[in-house]
Amino acid sequence: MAKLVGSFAASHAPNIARSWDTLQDDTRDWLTTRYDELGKRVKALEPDVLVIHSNDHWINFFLENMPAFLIGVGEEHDGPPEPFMQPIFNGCTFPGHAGLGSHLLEFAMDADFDPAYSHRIKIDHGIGIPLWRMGFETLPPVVPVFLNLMEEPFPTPKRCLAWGHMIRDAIEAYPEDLRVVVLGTGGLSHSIGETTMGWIDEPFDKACMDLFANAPDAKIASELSRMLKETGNGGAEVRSWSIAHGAAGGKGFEMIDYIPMPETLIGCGLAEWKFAA
Amino acid sequence: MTDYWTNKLVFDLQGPHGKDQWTNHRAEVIARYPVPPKIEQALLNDDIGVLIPVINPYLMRFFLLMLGYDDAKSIEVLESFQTDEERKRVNG
Repeated sequence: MAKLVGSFAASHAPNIARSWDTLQDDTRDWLTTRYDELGKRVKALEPDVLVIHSNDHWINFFLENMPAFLIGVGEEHDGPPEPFMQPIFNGCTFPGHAGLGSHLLEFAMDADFDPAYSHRIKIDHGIGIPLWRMGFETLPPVVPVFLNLMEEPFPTPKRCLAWGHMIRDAIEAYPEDLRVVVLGTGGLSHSIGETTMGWIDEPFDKACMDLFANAPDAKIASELSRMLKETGNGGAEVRSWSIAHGAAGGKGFEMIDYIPMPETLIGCGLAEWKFAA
Repeated sequence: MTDYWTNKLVFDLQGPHGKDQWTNHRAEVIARYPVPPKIEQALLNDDIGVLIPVINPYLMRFFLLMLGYDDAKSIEVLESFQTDEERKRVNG
């Protein structure tokens, strides 16, 4: 049977890629060492598949069709089309895992979730940046899972926590012997294209970390729902962290590191949920 | 909910010829979309204050980048439309 062997979260700001060569040295050093550490921890778990949750950024979806959740069930996915990602991935494709992806889809439907699905999806910077910075020599197959955080209404934090629990149950019900790592990308606080653009809400970020470290699901759900109304729009991406938290069974949260990073416009954070696999 | 056609116009500008189209053929681009006259004028005049309520923020960020604004300039322009409540929230 498949086994969930790790759960992680990491930020994915476009400026990490767009401005990499012109970032201040200490910013680039911070990003290099922390994402290296994330990569080291993930690789040490020897994953066969990565199930990565992120939000689309007007790449795959527009207002004609905005799935709340979408699972990539294909054998292969397209690389990031954004111009600032071209020098990194240069039009490459990403290996998918059709077996696990299809199983997650069917399990989710049986569990009364109703995700959309795609047999070929574009992996944008939301997934591409953490994968790039983690530095895989050979990238394991990826099952991408997108949630709508672009145009409200969004899935609630409560629903995202429940989704995370469901994803773990689904992984552990898959009959093939696979070691699976869940990764949630995005956050922490940021404000993009709105009148508060550039605002990094450190109290929000610290409160999120405290919730994941100490609070039960019900409190995380209620507090995030309240806090997200008061912070910048990019804070919505903490829902991906909630999914990683749910997948980990709400246990073992450990920040790898956090820093407010004005050059990339985000509160930049990386985390692992340590649990006995 | 933001305005569909205005956002569709900005969304479509993400294509490879978007910046050239907007820079050199703006009126023709706008004419392809049934946007209200007030929005049409705002698009022709870079009247960001009128556009903020109707353009999705992530598309607004792209739109400002396409106009040639770097992050600092985008922040400056957007900040000028902050409400007192937003200013208080950001400044603690």
